[in-house]
Amino acid sequence: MTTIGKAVPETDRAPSFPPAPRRRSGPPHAAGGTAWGWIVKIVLLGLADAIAVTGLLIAADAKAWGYVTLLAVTLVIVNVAFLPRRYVPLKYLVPGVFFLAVFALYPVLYTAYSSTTNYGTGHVLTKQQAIDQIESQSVGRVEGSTAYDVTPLASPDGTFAGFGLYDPDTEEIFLGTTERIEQLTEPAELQVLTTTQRTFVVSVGDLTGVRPGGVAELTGYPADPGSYVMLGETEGSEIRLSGAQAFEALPRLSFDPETETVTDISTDVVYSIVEGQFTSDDGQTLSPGFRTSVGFSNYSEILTGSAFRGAFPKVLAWTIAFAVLSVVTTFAFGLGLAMVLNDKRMRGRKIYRSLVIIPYALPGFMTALVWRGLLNPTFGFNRWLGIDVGWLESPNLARFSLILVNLWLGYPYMFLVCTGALQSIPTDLKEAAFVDGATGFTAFRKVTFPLLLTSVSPLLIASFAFNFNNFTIVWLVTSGGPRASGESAGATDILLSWTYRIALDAEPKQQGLAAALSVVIFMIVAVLSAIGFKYTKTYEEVR
Amino acid sequence: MRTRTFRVRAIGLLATAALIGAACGDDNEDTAAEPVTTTAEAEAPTTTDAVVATSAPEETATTEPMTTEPAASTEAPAPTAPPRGDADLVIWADDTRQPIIEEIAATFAEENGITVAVQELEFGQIREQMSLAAPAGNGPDIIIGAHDWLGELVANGVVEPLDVSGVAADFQQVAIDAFTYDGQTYGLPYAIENIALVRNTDLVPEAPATFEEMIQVASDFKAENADDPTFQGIALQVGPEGDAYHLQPILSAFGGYIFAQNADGTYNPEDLGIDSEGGLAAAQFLSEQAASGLLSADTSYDVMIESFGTGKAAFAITGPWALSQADNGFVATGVPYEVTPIPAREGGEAPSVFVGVQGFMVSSFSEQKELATSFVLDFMSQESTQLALFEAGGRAPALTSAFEQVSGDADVAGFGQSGAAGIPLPAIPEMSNVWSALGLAQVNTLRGDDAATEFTNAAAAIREAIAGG
Repeated sequence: MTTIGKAVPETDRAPSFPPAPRRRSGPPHAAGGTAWGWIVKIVLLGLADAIAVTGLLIAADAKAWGYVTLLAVTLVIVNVAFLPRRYVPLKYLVPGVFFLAVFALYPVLYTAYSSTTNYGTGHVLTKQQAIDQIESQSVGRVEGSTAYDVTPLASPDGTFAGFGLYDPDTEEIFLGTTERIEQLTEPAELQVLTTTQRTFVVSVGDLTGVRPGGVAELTGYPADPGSYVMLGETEGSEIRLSGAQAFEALPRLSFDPETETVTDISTDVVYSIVEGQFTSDDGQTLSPGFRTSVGFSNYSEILTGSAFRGAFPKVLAWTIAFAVLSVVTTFAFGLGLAMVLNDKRMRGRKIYRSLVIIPYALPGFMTALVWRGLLNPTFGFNRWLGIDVGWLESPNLARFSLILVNLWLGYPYMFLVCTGALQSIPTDLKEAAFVDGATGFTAFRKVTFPLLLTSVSPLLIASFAFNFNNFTIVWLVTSGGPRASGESAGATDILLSWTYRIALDAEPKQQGLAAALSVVIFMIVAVLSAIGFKYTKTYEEVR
Repeated sequence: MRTRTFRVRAIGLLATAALIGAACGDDNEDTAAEPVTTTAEAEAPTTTDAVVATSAPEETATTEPMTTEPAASTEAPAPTAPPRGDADLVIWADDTRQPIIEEIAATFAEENGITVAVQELEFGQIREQMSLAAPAGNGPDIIIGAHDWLGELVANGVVEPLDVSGVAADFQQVAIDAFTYDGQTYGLPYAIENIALVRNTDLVPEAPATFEEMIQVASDFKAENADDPTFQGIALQVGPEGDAYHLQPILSAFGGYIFAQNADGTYNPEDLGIDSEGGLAAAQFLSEQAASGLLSADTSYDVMIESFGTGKAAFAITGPWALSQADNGFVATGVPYEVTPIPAREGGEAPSVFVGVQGFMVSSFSEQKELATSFVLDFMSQESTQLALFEAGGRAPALTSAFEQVSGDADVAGFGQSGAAGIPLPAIPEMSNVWSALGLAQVNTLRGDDAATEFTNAAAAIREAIAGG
């Protein structure tokens, strides 16, 4: 994000950027260097194009026209930007805009879109997929009908002749086609398969059996054997495949595209669409439902739903407190250490500095789990200290423990930042303060600290935004607990962990609702960060 | 800054690759548009977090894939489904069963002239990824899974009904019942598993005759080793989220229940028995044993297996997985043990543990449905395959004839006896509210809150959720 932010003003400031003067005033490695540069550029661009074209072909093969358009447009823009020597600013802008679009805009827009749908358990399919499943899954075996073992049969000319239906009870073989089934009385060679114990018709008359691996080469073999209907011996009976067998089976549900309803053929009950689910008049539903737009009902659920109403202000308050306390404690501790270790009178500073950043070098989620173990009242450090403190059991102690763990994880970053910032403050400013009669503390308060703050405050705000959504540490250390029974939010739940528990960690999963909550959280963070930036006026001062 | 940006871009490229990959292999426009959205759903948290990480780079390591799978911390499972590849038949199985299924499936592949790929996913991920990958055309043809996933998988329309009428009679009734949901059967069971009482035969030579005797023996053992918290009377895992599954025998020993059963064995979500007389008596028992130190919310699975495995617990209440686990399972550590049913209270009924059934399900988005169905119905129902699967997992076969062959094994017999008094783990969607609310009430009770209030609140919360949902 910051890279993009910087790229724009730089190009703005450049007074003119026609390619010609650049080339003329180009560095002395002109001739050979450019040629090599050109080759490298062509090779890299060629590779990028090759990848894009492969993706394009795959997408076209899958008939995903949205992707095809997107990839084609990107391909053209990238080549226009990089192939000619002109368009220098574009060479910087295109990658930035591309990555901004892919990694920032797309997730944001997609989340906003999801928040208006009912996507979640029971609503993952498209409407057409759901209708297909409802119809095909309603096909049921007619009770008492004969179960035949099935073998695809090939004619002597290598085309599909129909299915060989072997009745294990009577040992008769029939030929099943979309016409009526007919008995085959020619001599047959049969084989009982060792794995499935089904009877495979090796040959009957001049027809030969085909193994499942061979049906792809069989001309005329149905693309979807499951919907291949053979007519039985009696009027109106339909024989369908099911696994390696076939039996008389009938569908029970049928979709009418005119009225958009599903009808139960046996009972004449009609199911019509209610919020992405086929529902009968008396409230019976058919599974699966499908994904559809529900407008702003996820948002109204957040505003009025019983799970949210009472808890939201409390969770928001703790989330802000957690983020602020995390920033303040890590910054204070990191700054303190940085000042101490920045003092030239201190011996062995390099060793201390290396030791201090160890928590930063360890994988954070491992550390968080180790902390969870240490805070376990029975098996944690209570045992070594001989005390009995329920670190994660009472609300306030759990909040304290969480801040403590986050301090451990976060202070090395603040230490590094402050060390860098302190070293960039000219020492003569501090000396001037001493000459003017300031004490050490006054010099720090009036000179060092304000200068430090100008350079680190954007990072403090960023750190605030990060901790606002610091799901990992909350989930791994306290899981949001302790939580009173009958409440949806625990004492240490931040908005994100609370959302996750309500919408994604339970059944039914409600991704649409989770997306709506994400949008709300995004807005809260955006507003708070904007206020922070405005208040500190950091951008202007940094520039 | 440069390396970080690079990392973000690398993650992004992977995400893009996944998106493109998910777009392959569809044959109509509707489903082709779908993978974009479903995969992005799984990817979105990762990429958003990565963007945040550029501005505040502390703990970059924590921001990567953890949001999608916070529970699995040590082994990072693939956050997306593996690419389908070009095998005719693709099966998803977990790490214990993947090798054996691969071996068994090879003969099936050979006889039918096809190719079979058995892909390994973490068990919980099979459930998660199935609903995402199957509608996108990247799913498997067959999965191995647990019957209590059916509520979700059927609602999502990703599993195919199976006509098991030809083989049902050969299976244990409870196993077929478990895979029957809303009147249709969706899977072929292969193994039954449940918890039982595992006793350290050095410390307690004779199996306790009653529940009270078991508690007495356990309390005495705990009292003898009061100064070391790693010693346990009964190693019974609870953990910070509670554990309604492992505490079910205690709830039922006192006459409590979660959902009452109808005459046909299905559950009635209207009749909740957590705050019944028996339920509150069980809550009171938890409260007393927490005070005496016998039961604790700090006992996790790891603590349980460690203390019993090293001979520091008189009893454990756990399942066959604790015996067969590599490295520190009870068989591996060599602790002398015997598996028996959990005894009933004096004059009471035998506690009913939850019986879980595992089996094979066919994807309703499979393009080889006939072949997949044949593999599951015809091949996996054979005695030889059920026995081979037993060898690998140690879970009691669901096929009656296979079960009888292995019931000479003392462990299988012990767990089998315990399961005989058990009830199927409810697959109805209402259970998800129970796991969280009842689990929470149990943890709070074990941590010293008032037992009756906790269980009454939990029951009220579950009733409200059922009425509202």
